[in-house]
Amino acid sequence: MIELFASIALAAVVLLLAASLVQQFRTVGSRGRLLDALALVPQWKFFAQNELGREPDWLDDWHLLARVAVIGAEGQPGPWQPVLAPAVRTGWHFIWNPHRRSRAQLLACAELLGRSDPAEPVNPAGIAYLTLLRACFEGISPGSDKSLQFAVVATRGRDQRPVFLRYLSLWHVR
Amino acid sequence: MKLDALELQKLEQQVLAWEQQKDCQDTAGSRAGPLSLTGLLDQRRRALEPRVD
Repeated sequence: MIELFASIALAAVVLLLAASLVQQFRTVGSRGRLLDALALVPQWKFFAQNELGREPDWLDDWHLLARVAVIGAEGQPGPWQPVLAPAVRTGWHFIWNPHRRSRAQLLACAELLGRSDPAEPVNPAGIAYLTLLRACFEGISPGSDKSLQFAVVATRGRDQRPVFLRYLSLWHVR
Repeated sequence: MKLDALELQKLEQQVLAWEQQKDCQDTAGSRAGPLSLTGLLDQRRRALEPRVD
């Protein structure tokens, strides 16, 4: 009798292990989660707590660029200047990378604006907008007679990467 | 990795298309009266202040 219970327990453990392995490679919908309300079958996510979307643009690199123009002047504004771009990480960054969090915060704001609905106007007094605008003014430092505009741009991949303009701001003075 | 010259050129084209499509504030005329960062920050600050009736 004991052997029978031991065999059943062993089978249950093996089944749970097998289900856990399978679970790591599939996406569980809300219905699937209902079936496993006690989360007996784990889905390990480690560093990525939220599931990445399946669309290709979820892996885009985000850039923040700005340009300036003389207030009231006719003609073309100045060239686009990078304010924030995806950093090339070196081994040293593992030990010393003090701007990591501020950069991540700015990139999160850029992504928020970049993924906003184009049909819905963005509030310039919103936190993300103001954060980016302030970073641009600090990064570019235009004179008092100049206005500034920023753009959120996404690129995909490394070689011959496509460029997508995701958001273009209004013109601003300090 | 920053955008190179060719990518910046592509960006310029998209900016022009964006401005034409939105028909918005991004023309030279509108730069005469741009929104100020200080004004926006004040607006934000006022929105966060508690209302006293």
